[in-house]
Amino acid sequence: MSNEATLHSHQHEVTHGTVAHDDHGNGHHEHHEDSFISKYVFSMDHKMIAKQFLITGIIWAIIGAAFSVIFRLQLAFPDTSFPFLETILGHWAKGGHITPEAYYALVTMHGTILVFFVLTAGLSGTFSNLLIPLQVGARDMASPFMNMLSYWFFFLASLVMVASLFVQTGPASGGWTAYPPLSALGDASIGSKIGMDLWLTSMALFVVSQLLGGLNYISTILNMRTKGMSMTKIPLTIWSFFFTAVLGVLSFPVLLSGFILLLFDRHAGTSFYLSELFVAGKAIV
Amino acid sequence: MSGFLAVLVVVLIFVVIFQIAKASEYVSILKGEKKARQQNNRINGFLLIAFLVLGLIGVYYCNELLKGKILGEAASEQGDSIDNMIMWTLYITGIVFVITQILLFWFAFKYQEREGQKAYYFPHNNKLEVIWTVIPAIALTVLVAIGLRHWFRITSEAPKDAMVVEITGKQFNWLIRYPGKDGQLGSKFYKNINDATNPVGQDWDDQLNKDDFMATEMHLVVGKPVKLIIGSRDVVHDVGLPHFRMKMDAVPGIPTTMWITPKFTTAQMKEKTGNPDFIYEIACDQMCGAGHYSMRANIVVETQEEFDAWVAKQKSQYELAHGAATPAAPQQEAAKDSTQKAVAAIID
Repeated sequence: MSNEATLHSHQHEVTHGTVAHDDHGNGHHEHHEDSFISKYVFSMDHKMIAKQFLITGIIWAIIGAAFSVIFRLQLAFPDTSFPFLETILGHWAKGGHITPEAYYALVTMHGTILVFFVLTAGLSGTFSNLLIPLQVGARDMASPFMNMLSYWFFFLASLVMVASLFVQTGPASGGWTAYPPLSALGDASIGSKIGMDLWLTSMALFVVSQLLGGLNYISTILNMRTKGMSMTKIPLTIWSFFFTAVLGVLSFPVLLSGFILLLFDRHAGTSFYLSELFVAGKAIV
Repeated sequence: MSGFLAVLVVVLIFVVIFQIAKASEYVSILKGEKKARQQNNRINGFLLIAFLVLGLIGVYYCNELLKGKILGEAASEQGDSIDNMIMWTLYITGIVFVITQILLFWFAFKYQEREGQKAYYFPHNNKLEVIWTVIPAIALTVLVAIGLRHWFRITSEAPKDAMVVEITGKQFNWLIRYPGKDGQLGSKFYKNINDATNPVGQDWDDQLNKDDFMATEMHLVVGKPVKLIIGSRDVVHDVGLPHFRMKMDAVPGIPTTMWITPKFTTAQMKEKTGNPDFIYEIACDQMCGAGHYSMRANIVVETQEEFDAWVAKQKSQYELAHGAATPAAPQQEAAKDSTQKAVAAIID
């Protein structure tokens, strides 16, 4: 959908809403009242979406920071037993010592959460959404609907990632860079079993979210600046959001295809990342 | 119960912070907005200077405190030039760091909002822009060029007199193979791999393999260049040599190489470091699974005589696998059979 079309359809909706109100005789209402769902949940208002990104990002930041506290506690006092860790992590921390598998899983999830869910979505998502329309003088984003989708894809990605923390074999544990073959073969590491599938699914959804967001930021900055606001006059913050979005749009599709190929390697018998390997006592073609 | 109390304490702390923030807001309204802002400005300006001074003291203090914990002199000739490169990088970036930090905090303090002081409007200066773009660009280009030169040197073809050692990573230890008398490593194939008799998958039909021997420690000769041929059986590992200031990824399917020249024998290092238990170590530097933390091997650097004496004692993997040198014991016979069967199966 082009920007023009989105704008027009949006305007049309607003007009339609006002007409409807008049029909009900609610003439004294100044503007269209949103329902709770359309105002706070599936909102298309860039400020509300920014707040949604912010709150989700903060929750992820607390989870990610808690992980780092847990594994750094173990790193700083390797010989001390922390019984509360067994309370939280169960058999992953028998006797108050984190097992190596759980330690690597915590490091991996800490990295993933901080890099993608906090820094990329939490910060870039929040500030780009909040500030771009305000600072270029646009009423809203180029496509409010895409903007809403961007948040809800991020939310879905978050749900899948949270689910991966609770599977029996644990979440992905091959480092946040997920280098194959370690991340491709369940036999190579316990974290490369179902946890890795969930990680890949979540990251693929996340990439979709960031692409929807990034394309929106770029088209808003290029097309929806207010009168007299040339590219040389936009604030430096907007230039930096612009570059961030362009870099994201250039790199995220590559990342997405990487995830998909890795999923193929794991489940469709392909060997994009696998060579002549000998894992867990047998040769793999 | 204790969990409930902990949550309560956290909530109360948040409430206290919130109340303090609210109280200070009321105070500022009572005092008048402008006056409160000016006072805040002065406090913030002072804090910035305090942060600068304490921060720089902290940097110096950490440096003094942890000086003894770094690795000491590099133990390879290539490591010396790496250390040299890091030193120059730190000098250049360190000087820039100190200058920019001082300017940043000092300017924020000096040019804070004051009665009768108006901000100077300074939109653009081409000369200034060119200077602060070109100088860092040149400096960074030089640093990158030096780095590239080192990279090309250690990954280039080793000198003719270099010895060759193959090191293969597997979950979770290192397999070290020497080429034996002929100085050439035999070919290998991953389907020949057998943890009992043929850990790297040597092809027994290749004559070059007959004298190759495996070792649990890597023995190197002091002052003699060594070329490492690095590979992996399963996932990506990394040959990390902290004392030699080197590391190189071990990637399955893509052999990598690197060559170094050890400068000190293990005995010399024991004296130098004053640590009678000193050993050179190979540590895996790439996350490779549950046993990553324990994936290490030792390196012994020794004189040529000691090395030759050690080599003379080694049995080739071919002999070990086929039990040819020793009277045929039943177990070895069994091993021989299974190996031959395995090899035959693959050839078929």
